[in-house]
Amino acid sequence: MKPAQPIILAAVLAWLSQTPSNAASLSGTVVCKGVRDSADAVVYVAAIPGKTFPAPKEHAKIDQANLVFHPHVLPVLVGTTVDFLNSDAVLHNVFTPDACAEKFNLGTWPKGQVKSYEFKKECVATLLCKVHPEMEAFVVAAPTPYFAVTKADGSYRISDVPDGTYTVKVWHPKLKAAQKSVTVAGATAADFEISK
Amino acid sequence: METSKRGFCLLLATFVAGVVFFGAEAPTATAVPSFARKYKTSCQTCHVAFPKLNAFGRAFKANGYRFPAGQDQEMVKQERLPLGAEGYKKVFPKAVWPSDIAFFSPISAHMINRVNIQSDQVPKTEFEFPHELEVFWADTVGERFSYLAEIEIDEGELGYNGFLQYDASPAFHVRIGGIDPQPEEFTEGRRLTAAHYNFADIRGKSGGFRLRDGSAGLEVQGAINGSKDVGGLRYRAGIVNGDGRTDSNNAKDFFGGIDYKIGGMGVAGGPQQAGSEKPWVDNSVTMGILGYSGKATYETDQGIDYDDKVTYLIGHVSAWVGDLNLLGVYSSQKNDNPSGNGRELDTKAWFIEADYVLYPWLIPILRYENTEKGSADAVQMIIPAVSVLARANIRFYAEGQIRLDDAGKKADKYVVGANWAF
Repeated sequence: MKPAQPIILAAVLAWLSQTPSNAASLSGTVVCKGVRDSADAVVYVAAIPGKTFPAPKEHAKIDQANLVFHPHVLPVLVGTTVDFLNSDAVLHNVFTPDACAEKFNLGTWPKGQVKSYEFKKECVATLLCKVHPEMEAFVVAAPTPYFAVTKADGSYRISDVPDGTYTVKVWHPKLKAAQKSVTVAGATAADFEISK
Repeated sequence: METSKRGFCLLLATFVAGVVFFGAEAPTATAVPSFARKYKTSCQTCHVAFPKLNAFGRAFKANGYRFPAGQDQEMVKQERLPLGAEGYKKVFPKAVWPSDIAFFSPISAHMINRVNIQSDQVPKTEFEFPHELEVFWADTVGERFSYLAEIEIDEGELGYNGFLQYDASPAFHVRIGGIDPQPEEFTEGRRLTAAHYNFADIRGKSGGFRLRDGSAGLEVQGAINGSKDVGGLRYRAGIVNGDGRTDSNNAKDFFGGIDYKIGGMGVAGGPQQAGSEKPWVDNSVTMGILGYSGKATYETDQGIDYDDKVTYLIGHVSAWVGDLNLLGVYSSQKNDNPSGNGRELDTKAWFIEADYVLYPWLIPILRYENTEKGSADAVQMIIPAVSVLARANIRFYAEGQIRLDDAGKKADKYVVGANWAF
């Protein structure tokens, strides 16, 4: 009996590693051609048929400080509410011209106050400030909670992605979006290259 | 004792710098892209459409070209070159007071191009490309000084202007250099039309003094917020040559003005009107008066000097109601001897204007002017115009300067212009 135990254990582990419920990670590099660096690309797993994800209760946050949106690019799960804080002593406004976010316009509000919006649909929303036309940010409302933003070197890492085969999308503020099918099995690497 | 010693040294430094710095007529630089670069912000942060300032732009100016509410240092995004470490403040007066300047020269340019069409002139259509080119440097120096220096080519003539300003607080500035003694919201360079405001464009005699030319001198000015940082009081007073860069006599000219803003953003900065996402909206009424008194010396055809005392009393109002800005000025000008024959000349000039921000880039303008100079028939003019921002720093405009009085029936003028600042 004793010699059989390691074999059974290995078989169970092998089976577990192939089931979709087994969390792994997806990482790699997005090479962004034609821009200064490879930061601010959003890598996310597209909608998984038959699977929905509850929106997080915790709100995401975007700060307006020194006439700049922080962060510049924010991925969230569809259904997430984003709080917009004004940290400047001047008025700020937040609006979007994108229909997927109902072309919302939150008006203007002074320092220290917050206004919020719930991103109800999958969307890439451009955020603008009517008071300071140079300000711009993006909210990417993704259909799954599996997303990440690239660093300047293009690297990204998405944790807790169940094993399986998915469509993985890449979006960037200035470059053409891309997508490809990726089979995640344990720690999986997927690299992308996007350009104008 | 130490504080008063420091204060004396700073005041002395201001005067010395002012003497070294050239005196000049009023600087005409009216949109300063180097400020946009300094803060990495759009022209529209300060301008309704350049060169017309919005309430924030006026507050920025009232703070010595700095962000209000003590937020300037954190807003600056361009690298600064320190001219001495902060710690040297403790060493003063045994060391130069520390400050900083822009790491890269804060240079800007403003190009004004026009096509003038006037049926009674030869040529009937004239291309003025450019009508005027201004190259200027504007910045702050440390926490208490600001400056502007300008080289200008206007219709082929080279000019130079500038000022140095000590910015004690929004409530107190001292400016030495080129002074524009007109009401703050009606200064020469802030209008959207090519046509000058009538009240500042009137000379007692051909080639004589007119208010819009400005003059070299010294000015104190300030802005004090009203209750709850809404509206407030602005004042200015100065002493100037009266005849531009060099004076024609021993007498100096004096001016003083005060205005009060009811409603809207505090004149020295403060809460804007939350709820409106339109940065130009500043529901308010500003009313004020400005007086000017001076003496110019001219020469008769026979070579005999004579003096002409000139006084102005100007009342002005500017009201913002949503997207509409209504402006009005009434000026009473008196020259006691403009032609050297002892005869007085009284001039009454007034105008009303409506600027409507239809879109952030499109502003229709309508102005009616009436000028009564002595016993001559009144000159009446209507100026319909449209200002179009192609980009935040490129502005096109078209206007008619249509005379309604009998004497001006064939003197209508039409102007199409393109200005850009960079």
